[in-house]
Amino acid sequence: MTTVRGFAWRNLHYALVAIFIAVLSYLQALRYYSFAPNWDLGDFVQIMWSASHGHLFTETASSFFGSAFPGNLQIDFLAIHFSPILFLLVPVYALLPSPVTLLTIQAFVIGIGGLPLFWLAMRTFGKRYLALSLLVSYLSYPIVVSTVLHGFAPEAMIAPLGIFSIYFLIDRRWAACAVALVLLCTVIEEAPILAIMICIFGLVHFRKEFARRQVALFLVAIGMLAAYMAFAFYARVAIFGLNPTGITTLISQNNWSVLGATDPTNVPAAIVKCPSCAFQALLTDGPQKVVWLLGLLAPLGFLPFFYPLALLPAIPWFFISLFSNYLGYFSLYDFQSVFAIPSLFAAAILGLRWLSRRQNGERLLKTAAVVFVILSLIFTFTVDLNPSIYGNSFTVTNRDQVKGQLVSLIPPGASVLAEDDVYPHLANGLNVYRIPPVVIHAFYAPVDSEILQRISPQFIVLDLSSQNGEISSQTKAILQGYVEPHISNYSVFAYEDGILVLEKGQVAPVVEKLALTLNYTNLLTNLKVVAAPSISGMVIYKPSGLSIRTAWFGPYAFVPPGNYTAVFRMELNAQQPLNTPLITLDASAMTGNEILASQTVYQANATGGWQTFTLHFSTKVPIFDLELRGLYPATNCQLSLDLITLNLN
Amino acid sequence: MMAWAMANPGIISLTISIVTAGALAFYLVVVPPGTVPYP
Repeated sequence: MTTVRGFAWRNLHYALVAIFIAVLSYLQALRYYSFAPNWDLGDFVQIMWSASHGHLFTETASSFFGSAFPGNLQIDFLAIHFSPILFLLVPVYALLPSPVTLLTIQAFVIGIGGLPLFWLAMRTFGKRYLALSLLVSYLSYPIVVSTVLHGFAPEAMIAPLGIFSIYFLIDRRWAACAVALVLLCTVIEEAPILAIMICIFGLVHFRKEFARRQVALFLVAIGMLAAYMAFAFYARVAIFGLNPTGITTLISQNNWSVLGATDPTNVPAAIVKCPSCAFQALLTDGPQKVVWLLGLLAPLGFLPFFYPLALLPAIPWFFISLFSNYLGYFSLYDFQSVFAIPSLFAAAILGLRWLSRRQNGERLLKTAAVVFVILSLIFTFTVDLNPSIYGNSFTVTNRDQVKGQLVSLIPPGASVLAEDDVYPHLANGLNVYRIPPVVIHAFYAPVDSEILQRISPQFIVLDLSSQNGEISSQTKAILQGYVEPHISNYSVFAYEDGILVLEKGQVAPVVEKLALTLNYTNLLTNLKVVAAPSISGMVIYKPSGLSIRTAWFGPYAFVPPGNYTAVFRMELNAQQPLNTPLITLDASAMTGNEILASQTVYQANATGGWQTFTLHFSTKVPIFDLELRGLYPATNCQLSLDLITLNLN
Repeated sequence: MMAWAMANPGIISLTISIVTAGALAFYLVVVPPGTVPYP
């Protein structure tokens, strides 16, 4: 028994990492099947499909990032980011070609980063309980968790490779350190900066024991890393076709617009050039930046402050982030801060070592271990899986399943235009398109027009009821920019629960189910919404004596061609002559200009209590803005609308 | 008290971190920070 316990204790770190990988992979899969919007995943599914079919990393998903419009709708991902490390993943993806493979890889690489951290802590303190608590701290670290839940991004590999580099460096395993640094550089074009800073940290850390030969070796390594970085930037433009004055430049300028820098590499120059702009940039989104800094340091007990030298490799990222006005650089819910992780954890370990050598060392280490576990528990159950960020994306609803079924009806290899929540599910091919949402940047509008003018997809997938602003912005742009001008060329292939699939040509629908429930949540009104014993629980309420022209209107819903029945559930209380009109109910389109059906309810029709009124209408063309309205309510009538059900007959 | 704090910066630092973690948890979960847009 003791032997079994001993074995378990000695290998607990592997078990913790395995549990992390399993749990985070599962959460990632839930987010994938619940259609959580995931812009980056769409790119990587497509480029992995391309690479495993001999097209290098060609993609259409984000081609607009790399080339200026009008331009090519295809580009190689290496133009957008020079990440040759992706070649290592191609055989894995070829064996298991699924977006879930990439999501699992993301959890795996981040989880593996915990092992060199554990070994570094073991080597530094020789205490397994402390190393395990540090590992738990890493696995629950907000940026670690949010980097995994981001979906997939090669930058995630910065965490394990950076930590391996620092671990091998401190352990004086030069060859292994060199391999880790080389791999680190291949993650993304800016990664050599981190590698160079790790080498500089090594030079300072070992300054008392390094002979001239070792110093020279490190300086040569720094020179080679700088040369590689220059090549990476050169290759994006010269070999892979990045337009150096295209959208990427526009985005960079936007991200540091307060400072006046045009890209991250000239942030220092911009600070020197305009110190007042730098001060202004630093203050921009100040509260969020403070929260971000606290979120980076508090989970580590603020211990990095006690060994600031080890923070050296993270300094460039603090500069890039703190002087930026782009929220992603100073958010705990983005992967950009992953560059700081190796340095922050190394500094925490070395800071704790420095403190423990002062006095009460043993007691401090035990306290630190307990505090790390407490902090991990706090962050795991609050910040890490924050419901205000992730919403219900860890739950696959019935509607998500319907969406999955409709998407699965699209034949493999078909050309498709889709929104970015569906895109990763369909990105196995080079004729799959999407548009960047204009709610992010206004300058995406001409990009969207350009893409929509140049494509002719066989299928179009739209979620007409999405609650996500970015998705509904894409829906609106696709409906206005493509579907409405080309509607005569398309017919409804499938429609259910607000999810529309159009197919080019005249085809009979394979799935067409429509049942909409409209109430105070989706209708528009200037009246009060009050609690009342009703099916919805809350009703749109007009008291007697109030004069108003429109009781409710909206919701401007899309409906495919067909025969419809709308049932209004209402309560009308009035004491008027029997022929007095109490309210007019209608179904209309074209912002109320086209009346599809209308019915006036008279005092004679009002029985008191809840009752239903039915409208029938039909349409031979899709309607993009259906309204079910309540008009001209009588002033001396008290009315309540519970709900309207709309069914396709 | 001050002398004790100066002699035990590690304990002080760890204590502050727990208080900060609680404040962060409250701020980030109760006050929704909004989603991060893609650049």
